[in-house]
This record gives sequence, structure tokens and C-alpha cells, in this order.
Amino acid sequence: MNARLSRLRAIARRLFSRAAVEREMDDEFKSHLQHRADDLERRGLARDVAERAARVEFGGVEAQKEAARDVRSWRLWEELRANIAFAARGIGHHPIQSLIVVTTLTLGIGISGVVFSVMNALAFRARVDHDAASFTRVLLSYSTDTSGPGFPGAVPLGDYLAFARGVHSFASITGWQRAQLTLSDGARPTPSALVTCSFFDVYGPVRPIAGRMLQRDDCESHAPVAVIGNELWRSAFGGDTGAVGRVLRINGQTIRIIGVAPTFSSASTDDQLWLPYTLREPLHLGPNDPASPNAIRLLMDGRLAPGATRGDAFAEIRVIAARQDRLPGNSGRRTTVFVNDGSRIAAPGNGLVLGSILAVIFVGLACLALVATASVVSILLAIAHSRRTEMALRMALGAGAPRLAAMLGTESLALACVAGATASALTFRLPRILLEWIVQRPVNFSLTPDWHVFAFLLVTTMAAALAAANAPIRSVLALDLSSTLRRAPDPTGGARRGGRWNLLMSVEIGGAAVLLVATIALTRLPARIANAPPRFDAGHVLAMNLRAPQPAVQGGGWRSFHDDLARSLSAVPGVRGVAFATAQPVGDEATGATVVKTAAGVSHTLPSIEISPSYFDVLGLGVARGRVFTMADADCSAAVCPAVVSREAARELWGGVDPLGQRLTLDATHALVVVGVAADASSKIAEPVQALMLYTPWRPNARLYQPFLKVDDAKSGVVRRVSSLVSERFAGAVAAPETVEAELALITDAFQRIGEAVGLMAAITALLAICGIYGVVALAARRRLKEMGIRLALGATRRDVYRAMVAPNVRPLAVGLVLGVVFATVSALEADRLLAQEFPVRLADPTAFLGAALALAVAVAVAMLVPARRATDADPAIVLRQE
Amino acid sequence: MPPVELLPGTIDLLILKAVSLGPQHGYGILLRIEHISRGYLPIQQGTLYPALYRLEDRGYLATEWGTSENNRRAKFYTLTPEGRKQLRDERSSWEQVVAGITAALRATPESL
Repeated sequence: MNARLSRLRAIARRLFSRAAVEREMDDEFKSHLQHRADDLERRGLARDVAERAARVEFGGVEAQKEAARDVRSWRLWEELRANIAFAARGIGHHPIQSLIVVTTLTLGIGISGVVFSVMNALAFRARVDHDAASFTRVLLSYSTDTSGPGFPGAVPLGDYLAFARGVHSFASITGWQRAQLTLSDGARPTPSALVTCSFFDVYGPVRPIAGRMLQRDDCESHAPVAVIGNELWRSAFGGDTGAVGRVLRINGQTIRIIGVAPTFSSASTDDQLWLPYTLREPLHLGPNDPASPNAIRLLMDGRLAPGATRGDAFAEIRVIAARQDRLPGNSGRRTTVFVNDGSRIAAPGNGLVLGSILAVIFVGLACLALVATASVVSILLAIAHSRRTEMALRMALGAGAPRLAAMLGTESLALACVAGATASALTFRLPRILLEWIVQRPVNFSLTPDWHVFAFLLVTTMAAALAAANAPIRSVLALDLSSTLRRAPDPTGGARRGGRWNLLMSVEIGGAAVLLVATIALTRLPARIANAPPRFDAGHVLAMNLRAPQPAVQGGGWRSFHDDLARSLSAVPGVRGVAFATAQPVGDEATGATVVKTAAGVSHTLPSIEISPSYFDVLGLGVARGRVFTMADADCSAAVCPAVVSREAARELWGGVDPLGQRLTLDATHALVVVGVAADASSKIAEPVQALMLYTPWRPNARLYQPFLKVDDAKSGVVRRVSSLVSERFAGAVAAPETVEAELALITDAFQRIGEAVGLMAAITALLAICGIYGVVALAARRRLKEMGIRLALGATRRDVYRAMVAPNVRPLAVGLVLGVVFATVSALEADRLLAQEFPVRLADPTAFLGAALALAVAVAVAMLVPARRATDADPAIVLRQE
Repeated sequence: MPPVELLPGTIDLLILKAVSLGPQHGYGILLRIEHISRGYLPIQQGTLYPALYRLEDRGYLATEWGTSENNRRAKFYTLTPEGRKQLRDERSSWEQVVAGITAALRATPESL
């Protein structure tokens, strides 16, 4: 043990007192030489001869020391320390270039990390704060379901209760349904959820800020109680803990607040009010009877029991679902079960759409990484080139290739690590700030990076370090010792470094061009939105955003409900017209998609809306050809039903051919015939893509259609009047009227902010790429100061010096610029094609290209001319002395 | 008999043996090995110190500065308990090798 301790002490001393260790080695060798000289002297040699002979016998002291150092176990640490010192010296000699390298890598890794972190939080994990591994979502689809205003994947109460009783693979299970509940007349509805009383166990443990969470008894006793959220507590009760015990009036009922929930991650992330689902009937939202066809449908989430897997849960749920299918009330029903981890990407049908969006984003990130890497590599190559004499000397003195590679690699690794650490800090802080700025409200779910994000950052940092180290190491190892040490003349001053150099410059300029184009296109987006003419009367159309319980069939069903609603709303002062539809024409998530086949046999997927006859009139959309729908077109059950297409859709489907009378096949037995062509309903943000539209007649008895009102002045109190009318006349119905213009503004604002955020990031990165180009060219020029000094001293004119400095760089930079702009054009066109279905942004914008090319040309010209000017201003005598 | 070249790996064994006979400084170890090997195994000066440092690094030797027989300051090496054990192990391995090689060399056609 003592020996080990003393050994550790010795190692520590050698590591931290290197000078003392070296001194001790010197003393020992000196002592050895003296003893040997004493011996030789005793054999009759004169002292000075004996000392010389001892030295000769011993050999080179430095070589002996190096051999002695090599056997030490701390040698590795010593080398590491030497490498770090070398890296620090290198960074100190090129502070500007090193700063650009670190900043470029930080932004490259940081932006990728932030985007990855946001994507990961939004798409790849369940919205839970604890133990995501045990969280499980169960989604069911029923063969007897018709499309309607339900919640896809939700389970009727009867089935939920059967599952809750019968499953053993879940430790806890909950069901919930979102609702919009109005706390006072005329106020905006509060996002709420009707939940089973185990909700907070599955999403928790959630510790209340005040009071308590829901308990099993609350559901069984039908107690009129609610838990409110942090935001509602602060806005409605000023954050007073006395709010617990106070009452809320909801749909004419008194509900007592029993607790205040903190902000926590959950699928009902925006909700601020949680009530037992058994209050549905007292709140006039629908029956509580599980056997009723209008029973509540609940989304089902749970926590796996210890040792259970999602496979176990799936098997169990499937057995119970099959049993439920055999019940008398469910004849002919077949249930399909989906069990997943609760992430969006795992939701049925989401994988392909989300996957393609993610693919586009990752291609963008790859572009960014390419530019950042090219920029960093070219700067490090330039630095390595400037050090080639030093490296050649080290090689001549015996430093092996691995040693030199380690030295250069440490420098790249150090720069990449600093960048990686800074990027990690950004990734920790930025996603929430960015997302909250884009959506303009607090984000109520966890965005904390998980191990996936840190693994991504680590891999990216290491990849950056490897990419950054590879080229400089290879360039130094390929050095021709003799020519480098003899300083063989290089007529281009190192500017002509072959295809790799030109390729790097091209990639860098190309990447900078792409990023500049993106920057200009995205920052011009707000102006394009503001200047684009609205094509329908969005400011005078109110979308009612209505929610209503299913009306009883004996009372006339949905048809009667729609008739009553239309009559009542038409009577409200200020309302000029009422129409019903599944969606507004632009930016509405409720817009459907219909696959149609033209007579030529070509398939198209068109956005589609079911509308009542007055829709075009209410929205102020002209009908260019043919006719609008009539009441006779409603509930069409014929083999061929009428349809109206937008002008853009007509162009897309039939080009210049007259669209009227054209047939669109839906399936083997159903088809549409075009009876009218409507004006394109592009809004301020909508470009032609969104003007594609297929209108079909509504089926007023099939489901709830959203009412749209044409109003004189949306600010005249009509909003309050129609809102009150709905809640007074229709039990359980809640409306949240808003002008279509205001709803579109939410989308345009979000797009604007996304545009600004992405534009800012792209601008910074493009700027860094330009700085990189400048850094490389300037460094190459600085090394030629001596040559220029000689030329000036020999009588060269300033013009000659300019030409000598600029000429070698013109070709690679011009090639880079041309290749870059071609690359940017191809990328932008391809990005437009890929993104066309999702985003109304055009990157292939001639102004953007012109701006980007000009900016780059200016940057490159400055990068060449500034060092050239410095060379011509230099005093030859001073420059030559310095070298 | 003329001096012979050391077999690879045997310098450590010789140094451990030399130091086991009493603390000694580097030059003294060199002379002691020559002495105890009856001059058959001269040590190259270039190989002595790397071997000494390696053995010290592994914890087989401890060091202390003192005064030599020439009245000069010198760094003395002593064997640690681990060094003693190592010497025993290496010696036993060596004896096995020697026995094996000797037996092999004495083999005759009749013994096959």
C-alpha cells in the first residue's frame, strides 16, 4: 500500500512539478558522468580527458532523457499537456481566425442542436415530465365510425370503463377529453379538460400549488369540483392561495375550486381547468350514461405496470376490445388497437407527414453543417499552411507523424470542444425562448434536452472536430521536408493549393449563397405578406368556432340544429348572411383532402371543403364560371354529385380546357361533376398552392358544420351578441367568434416570426461564412507581405503589387461564386418543390439571388483588396526586418 | 570468454537482482551487474536509465538521494516489497526457461 501511495505521490509530483523532475534527471546524469570520470581518472586519465571520455561513452544526454521520458506512464499526460500548450499557442497566434472557427462551429452545432431539441420535444417524445419510458397511449379506431366531430383515437366511455377494469399491464390509466368552457358570458372560452380522476397520477406526480388534485371519490360522487391551472390562477385570482374553495360559474353550474395545478407537461398542455368527466351531464355537455350513443369519448393514456411492456398492453387491450365488440349494442363493430409511446411521430398516420417535414429540416441542417465545416476547414488549412516550416522542422528533429497529428488534432478538438460546450448551453436555453416567441405564449410542456439531444451534440461536436482536424493533419503530413525547409519559391503565395482548396472555397461560397438567399427570401416574407392583396373579405367574416353536443335525433338532429342556428343568427343585428362549412378556405386544420382522378386518369389530392349554398356569398368569393350550389345539391347521395373548383385547381387539373362539366372520379361508384369555378381564395399568406380547392355540397344532417357570418362591422358588438345568443338558445353549445382575418393573422404572425428567426440564424451563419472567406484570403495575403516588400524595394509599382496580390485569388473565387450560385439555385428550386405543400415561402426569388450574389462579390472583393492595400502601404524596410 | 549480448527483457531482472544486494546508484548498478555477471554481461549506458525509470514507475524500485563512496551526491535505488516479489517471479520464470532450453539442448536421438 505504501509503495502504491509513494508511487502515486511521485506521479503527481512529476505531473505538476515537471521542472523539478527534469532537474532531478539532469542531476542524476551529471552524477553518473562524474562517477564514471572518477573511475577513469583512477585508471590514470587526466580529469578533463576522463570527463570527455565519460560523456562520449554515455552518448547524447538529450537522447537519453527522451528515452527515459518515453518509459514513464505519465508520458501520455505530458504529451497532452504539450499538445494543449501547442494548441493554446496556435490559438494565440491566430486569435481572429480561431474566434471565427469557434463562432462558426458554435452556431453550426448550436443551431442544429436547438432545432433537433425542439423537434425531439415536439415529435419524438410524449409530453410528460417523469418516466417517459412507462408512459403509453392507447388509440382505437372502430369500423363503424363515420367521420364526424369526434376525437380520432378516443374511446367511448363504455369501452374505457371496460379497459380500466380489465387491464393488468397498466399501473394507472386515465381518459380525458378537451372542452372549451366559458367562465363568464362573452369571455373567451377557457381551454379545459374533462378527465377521469386518475389523470394527475398518470401525468404526475403533480404537486398542487395550493389545495389538492382530483381523487377517485370526486368522479364517483359527481362532486362539482375543479382543479385550475397556474395561468388561470394568476390571471383570474391574482395568484391568491385563497382561490381554493371559491366557486366558478360554468354553464349555469357552480363549481368549487379544490386545487391549483402547477405548470406541468401533459397532452392537454394548454388546458387551465380540469373537471371530473362525470360533470359532463350537469354541465349540459352530454349524457353520462356509458350506453348512450352520445357518451363521452376519452383519449386513453396510462403508465405501464412494473415489468409490463407495450406489447403486453396491446395484447390485453385487443382481447378486451374484441370482447366489447361482441356486446349486443356493438354488432358488426370491429376495433383496431394502436399502442404507442405517446409521441407525435408514433401516432397512426403521422409518421409519413412528420417524417418528410423532419427530412427537409435535416437536409437544411446538413447544408448548414457543410458550410460551417467548409469554412472551418479552410481557415484551419490556411493556419496549417502558415505553420508548415515549423512542422517541417519538428519532423526533421524526429517528431513522428502520430505526434504531429496529435498536436494538430488537439487544437481542432479544443476549438470544437469550446464550441460544443457553448452550443450545449444555447441548446439548453434557446428552444423555450424561441418557441415561446414564435407562438407568443408560454409553452406548458418540457423542452429540457434529454439524452438524445446530448448524444446528438456530442456526436456533432466530435464529427466537427474530426472534420476540422482531418484536412490540416493530412496537409502537414504530406509536407515535402526538403522543399519546405529550403523555402522553395511559391509563385502564388500559397493561393494555388489545388482542387481541394478550390472545392472548399466553392462549397463555402455556395453555402453562403444559399444562406444569403434564404435570409433575403425569409426577411422579405413579412413585406410580401403585408403587400399581398386579400382575395376574400376576411375582415367581415366571423368564424363562429362552435362546439355543441349532438342533438337528439327525435328533435330533428343536426339538420334542425343548423336550421335553428341559421335563423337565430340571421336575426342578430349586424349579421348580413350565414353560411355553413367544414372549414374556412385558408389555413384551416379542418380542411379535408380528397383524392380525385381526372378523365385523363391522372390522380390529384385536393384540399376540400363541404359548404352550404351561401358560402361563396358570405365569404365574398366570386364565382367566375357556372353556378354555386343550391339547397337541392345538399345531402347528395347520387352516383355523380356536383362540385365547384377554384380557378387554380381548374388550371392544375385541366390546364386551358373548360372545366365545366368535367368529371372527377372518387371511387368505382362515385364521381363529381364540375358545375362552377370559384375565385381563388388566397389570403394574405396564401400563395397559389393554398388556392387549390375542391368544394362539395354539405350534408346538413351528418355532422356539425361551422357557421360563418357575414357582418357589417366586426367591432360593433356583434361578436358579443352572437356569442350570448348561442349559449342562451342552444344548451351546451359554446361559440368563440373571431374574424377570419384575426385567425389568419395568428398564422401569418407565426410565419413572420419563424421567417425572422430562421432569417436571423441564416444571416449570422452567412456572415460567418463570409468572415471565413475573408479570414482565409487575408491570411494568405499576409504571408506574402515579405515578397511584396521585396517587389516594392526592387521598384515595383503599387499597381503591380495589387495585381500580384489579387490575381492568384480571382480564379478560385470566381469559380466558387459561379458554382455557389448554381448550387444555390438548384437547392432553392428543390427546397421550394419539397416545401410547397407545407409552407407558403418561396426561396427561388430573383431579387434574393441578385442580392446574395452582390453581397458575396462585395465581400470577396473586400477580402482581396484590403490585404492588398496593406501590402502596398507597407514600408519595405520594416516588412523585411519583421520577417 | 568474450562478453555476450543481453537477451531482450533480461535487463530488468539483472537490475532487480543488483539492487536486491543493497541500495545502489545508477553507475554503481552498472558496475555491480558487470561484477556479478563476471564481466559477461556489460550493460549499454543508453539502456540503463530507461530501464531504471520503468522499474521505478512500476513501483519495484524506490529512490533516495544520498552520498556515494566517492563522496559525491547520487540517487540511490532500493528494492520495494513489490520489487522483491517481482524479482522472485522473474527469477522463477527465468529458471524454467533455462531448464527447458538446457533439457532441449541435451536431447539426443536416443532420448526421443
